[in-house]
Amino acid sequence: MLVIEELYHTYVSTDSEQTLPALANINLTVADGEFLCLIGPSGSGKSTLLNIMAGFITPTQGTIKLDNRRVNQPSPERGVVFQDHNLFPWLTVLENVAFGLHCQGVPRQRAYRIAQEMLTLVDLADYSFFHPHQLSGGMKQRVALARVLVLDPLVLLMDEPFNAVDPQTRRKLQDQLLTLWKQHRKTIIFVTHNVDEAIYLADRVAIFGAQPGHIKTEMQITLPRPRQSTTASFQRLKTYLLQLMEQNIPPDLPNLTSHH
Amino acid sequence: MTVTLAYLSVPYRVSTMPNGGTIILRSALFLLIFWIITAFAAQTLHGIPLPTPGQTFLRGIELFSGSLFLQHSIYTHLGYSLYRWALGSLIAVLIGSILGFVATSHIKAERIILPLSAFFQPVPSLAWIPLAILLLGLGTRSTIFIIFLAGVFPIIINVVAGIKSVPSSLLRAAAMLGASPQIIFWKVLVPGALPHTLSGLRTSLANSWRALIAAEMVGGTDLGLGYAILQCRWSLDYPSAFVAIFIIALIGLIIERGVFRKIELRTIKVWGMGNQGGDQCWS
Ligand SMILES: Nc1ncnc2c1ncn2[C@@H]1O[C@H](COP(=O)(O)OP(=O)(O)OP(=O)(O)O)[C@@H](O)[C@H]1O
Ligand SMILES: [Mg+2]
Repeated sequence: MLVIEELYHTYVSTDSEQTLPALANINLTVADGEFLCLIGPSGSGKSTLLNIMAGFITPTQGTIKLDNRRVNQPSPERGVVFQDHNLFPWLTVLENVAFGLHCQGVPRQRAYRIAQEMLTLVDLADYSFFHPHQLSGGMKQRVALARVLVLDPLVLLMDEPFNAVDPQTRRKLQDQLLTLWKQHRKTIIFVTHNVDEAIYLADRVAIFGAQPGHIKTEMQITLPRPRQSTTASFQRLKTYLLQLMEQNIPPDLPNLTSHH
Repeated sequence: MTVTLAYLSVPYRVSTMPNGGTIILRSALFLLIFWIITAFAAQTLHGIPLPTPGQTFLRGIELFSGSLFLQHSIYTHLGYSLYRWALGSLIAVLIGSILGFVATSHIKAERIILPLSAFFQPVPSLAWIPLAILLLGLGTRSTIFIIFLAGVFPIIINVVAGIKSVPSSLLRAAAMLGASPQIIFWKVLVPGALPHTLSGLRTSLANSWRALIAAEMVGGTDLGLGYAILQCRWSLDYPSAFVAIFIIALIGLIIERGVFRKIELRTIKVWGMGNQGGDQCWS
């Protein structure tokens, strides 16, 4: 379980002249195996929160605990999929996926075998010896996913991972992610701008507001899976979520949803 | 309209582009004609016995088949020059890389190392000769010191630029995947810095090759291509000097085509990282 309590973060410029409060009073609990989407306007601190959960940034105040251990530095137990893949250009696809295993001291041959199996799982078995620049955006993101999944993380942190791909590919990637999530039952925290994507994927959505970034409200998505974006209930939920994002006071709930 | 289109069409433009072999052949032919005319004019107008291509070629064959040149074979001269070059450059690369890495890991060190490197880099290597002789006396040690100074600053500057060019997001990714400081150094910083490092190495080796030939001319050694060229003045053995000049140019060409181009094709090009410039150092 991931627990965030009374977390604040203020960016301070290098000359200490300017301060920018990016997050204020964040309280959030994410259950094991839960799929949580963070959604909200630009600049509302979603990436900042994700970077803090990843251990890249130390918050100004407050704590994050994963299974009762304090998060204070990056670790393979919290795998990050970045918006722009961040694969190592000098390594092949296979070497990229085996990188984390290599760091753990897994023998080379075994690491490559495990990496190859993971590549099969994300449908990239034939691309092991390609270099990242030879792949499409969607393929790179699948490699980026494979290189963290191979480390069997407790939590997956994903920051707008599918932004750079066309809508059809995006849907395919979402489906693939859902399949992997069902198989491995990871906790996933997924940042997106896209309301449709959030409803399609999430068990729960946390809606952010800006200035400073805070969680305005949370909403459980109880639509049965697999979901279909064309159904009336999906569309109603989408309209409702969009309204929630635009207004400060939530309107009456439609009957499909429950509210926290 | 059709003319314009035909002109713009790719096959037309490609067919007018000469290939590498043709370019080399053309410039060689131009050099030969220019040389013959100059030699002829110098001979008839001023009575100067400039070596002709034929004489140079014949002398080249003599030298390469082992005939002595200032008491040593051309191979010995070349060997000594290469040895000094390799040793001086090796020291420059080792010390330059270490200083460059130290500069990127400690901001205080950077504030000392970088400004000094930028300050001393433009100093022509020959300007160091009095200092070298004062410190190390006449001889090989001075020559190697000069080569070191000619090569070390481009290495420092480019290693620093290279390490800084590694995106912090890749360092984050590595840390997230559990990389130790050693792994981050060898698997992330070193390859990430390679494009800049290679262009620094290029500049460094080209600088020190030029510096070496010059240093051998004044440095009080009795071996080496630079020494040999200058001695040709006294023996009036100008064809040998020309042969030596060709060898010097060829070494540069071999390093560029045979080493740097190959390394780049196998690394940076395969990684899709592009060339960071620095092609012009040997020209
Ligand atoms: N490294 C940084 N230094 C200073 N300020 C920052 C830094 N990163 C983000 N900020 C500021 O913090 C605020 C929150 O930024 P953040 O990137 O977390 O928002 P976001 O919700 O992810 O936005 P987007 O949806 O556009 O990605 C913004 O006002 C931004 O300008
Ligand atoms: Mg963001």
